[in-house]
Amino acid sequence: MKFLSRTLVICLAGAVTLAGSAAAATLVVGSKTLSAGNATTTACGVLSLTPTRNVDNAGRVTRVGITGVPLTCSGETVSVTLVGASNVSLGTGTGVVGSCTTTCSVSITASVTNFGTAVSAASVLSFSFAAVGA
Amino acid sequence: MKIRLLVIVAAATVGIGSVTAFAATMGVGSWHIGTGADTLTKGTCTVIGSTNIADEYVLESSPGTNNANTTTAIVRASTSGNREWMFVRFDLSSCALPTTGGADTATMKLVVKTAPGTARTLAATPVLTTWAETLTWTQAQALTYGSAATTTFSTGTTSGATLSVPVTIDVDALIKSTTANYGWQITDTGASSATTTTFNTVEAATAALRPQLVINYEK
Repeated sequence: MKFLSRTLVICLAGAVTLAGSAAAATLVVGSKTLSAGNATTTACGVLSLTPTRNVDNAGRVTRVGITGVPLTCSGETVSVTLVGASNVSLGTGTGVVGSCTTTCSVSITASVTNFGTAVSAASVLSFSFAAVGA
Repeated sequence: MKIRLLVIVAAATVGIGSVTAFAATMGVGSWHIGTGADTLTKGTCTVIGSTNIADEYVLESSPGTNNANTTTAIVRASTSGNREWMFVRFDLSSCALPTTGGADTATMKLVVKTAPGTARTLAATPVLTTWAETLTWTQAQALTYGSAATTTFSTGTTSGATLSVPVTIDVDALIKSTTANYGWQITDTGASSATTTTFNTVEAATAALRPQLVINYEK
């Protein structure tokens, strides 16, 4: 039983490490115990969004836009990561969902601080995104 | 019992790790969080064939004549009243791309029939209003064009060469919009010159010599 408890602590600690902030927001890590709270992890329903990107004539990403963002995401910050081969991050940008009445949108223009200015659209294999707000 | 519990914990560990792989930018301590991902499908579509391509050229010296059914199209700069412009348009519908897709790269390929002795710089400018293959020089003056060329490119001096003209930004925008596609006007950007550049058109007998549009897309 002692062995099992120790193993559980190790595994949960691993989960926290991998999960990053999503899980860490509601987990209380003590010296010997772990406990979970009541995280609202899909509160604004961003799981099924479809980002699109624009390019310049050289095929570099110039902007990422997301339409159809649920109204419940209004005012939240959306983080979009351009993901390349081997699950490598090619760049991340953030934008704030403006106030809206039905569905919302986010537009993130590529810059030095958002995505960078030299990400080839051809190398982007998927978008990963997250919305966070209080 | 012990084993079952360990499996559940291990599965949770892997699951959480994979879902939030790129959520590291979210602030710790926030209470309102959602994540998701959208995987893209990549592919290539080449627009070819007379049913998908329209092209022709117009002559300032014969303002009422159209040259749609010739096997070549001529481009020439001149200030003495004999400029010649080429028009080419590709029907993207054969690629069946959704408006949520886009062009990673789009390249118009033109095969030079007769190259100039000295390389010329040509421009590809989007055409914004409709034209038919009965277009004349006079009618071309009434068309609306993009405010700037999409790209400029050198003709080189080699007859038979295939020129690759990048038009990614235009094709990407066309895929994303529902506006009609009216193709490009090809002009010589240089000063007055009697030098001409002659391209093969979609009427060329050999298929490989005809214009093509190669789109590497995502959807």
